[in-house]
Amino acid sequence: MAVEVHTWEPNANSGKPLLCLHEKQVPFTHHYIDMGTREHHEPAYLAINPGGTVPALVHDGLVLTESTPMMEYIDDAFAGPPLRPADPTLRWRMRWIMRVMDNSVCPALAMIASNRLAAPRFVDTPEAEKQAALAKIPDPERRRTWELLMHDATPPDEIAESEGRVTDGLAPLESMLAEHPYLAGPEFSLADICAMATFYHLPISRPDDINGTTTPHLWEWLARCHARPGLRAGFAMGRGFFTARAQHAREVLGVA
Amino acid sequence: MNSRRILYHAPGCALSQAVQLMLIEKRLDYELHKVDVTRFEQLDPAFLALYPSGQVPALEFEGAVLTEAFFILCWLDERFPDPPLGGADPAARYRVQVIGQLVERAIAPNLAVLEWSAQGGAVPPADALARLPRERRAVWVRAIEGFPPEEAAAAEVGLARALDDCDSWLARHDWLAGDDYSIADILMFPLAGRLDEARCGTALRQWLARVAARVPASALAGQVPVVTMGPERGRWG
Repeated sequence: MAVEVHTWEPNANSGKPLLCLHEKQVPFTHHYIDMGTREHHEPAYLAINPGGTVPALVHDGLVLTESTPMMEYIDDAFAGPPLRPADPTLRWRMRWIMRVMDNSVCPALAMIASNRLAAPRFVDTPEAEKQAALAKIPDPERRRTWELLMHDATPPDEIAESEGRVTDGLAPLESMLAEHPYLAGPEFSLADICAMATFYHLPISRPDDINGTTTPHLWEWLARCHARPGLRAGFAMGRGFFTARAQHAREVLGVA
Repeated sequence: MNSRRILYHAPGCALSQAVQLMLIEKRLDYELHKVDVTRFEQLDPAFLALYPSGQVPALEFEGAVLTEAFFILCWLDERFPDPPLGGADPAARYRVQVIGQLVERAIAPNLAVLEWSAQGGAVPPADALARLPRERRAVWVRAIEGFPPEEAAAAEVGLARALDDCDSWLARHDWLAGDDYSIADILMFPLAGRLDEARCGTALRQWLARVAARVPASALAGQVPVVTMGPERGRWG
């Protein structure tokens, strides 16, 4: 019955199983994988997930490596509060929202954030060291992404396109949340977890666009989600920056 | 209550065919409405008002308005659980969701890039493109410019890897989600069926024959494959 989960910080894909397991109230063992030192490309982790991606969840010998299906599995396989709507059409909506997050918004935000935060760290790294690090990445598409990042070579128009996608992804949330208190309807669901794993920092990262006056429903939703004990426990599992950022967001929202 | 059941489909579009097969599996009555993608009817303002991504298939079912082929299959299985096609246990249901992602992220988009690069296709008018959401427009813009050779090469590698994953799984299991035929098989079948045989390993070819034996042969009769712009390939890992 043991559940073991391997993640980096409670942020984006790594955040999903941590937040989800806490919301579902499933006990688990956590293994911290340091993406900063690229521990996810080291042999010890590749023995668990040969694809070299985080997160990974191991339950009764079954290894799960896709973060959104992993959340559906957590809700499906364990007793606890339901995290998916019973109504098929609301469930369709939940999946549709997660798809927009996973396929459009999250990759765009990852591109922006990693180019701003991670790319500068490689300026003084010798080329041979970069090549050795790249050679360890199993997935060719991810290898290309890291190659661009290490050489600060992401085309500027790609970054501008990503900015546009984040803005486009945020725009419909306000009207959806005017209709229902949560993204997939009246009840909290995996769609909220998926969006919170990526958007938890909006009150401090985009204060001009996202605030109590311009986007009142989105603001209330952020406060409602940040006040949840499960999400708070999940965000507490980081080792520094991300956990502090979630705490800072709660202070700005007045739910600290 | 609105009792209309209409599948908007493009004949010869693999993901439209998957929804058709699912409606047959569930023994549901429905109307077929052809969207002529060679004349870009999917980009007409009236269609986009209901289905903003401008993609087929789309299903209007007793008031519900649904897009995204795999999520339509999930919806049909949850709304009409008999016969059950969603996987028998949590592990199989996880596997169904993983195949849904694999088809949507790796198989359909890479195949679309390769088919377009090999055969080309009709180019939509600029005013129709301007009505599309950003990521749909981005895919079309690159297609019209011609996908650069490195993107076609990456699509080739991505498709081969995804098919290898399926083939090695099917060497150990009868169906894509495990022991039971499921919506994972229904989603994948029309896409796999249009591949060159050389792309498919032995286990995948044997699986294709097993699915073909289950599917009513007349269901898709007369449909000629059309090249449609699939979902976007991944941008940032």
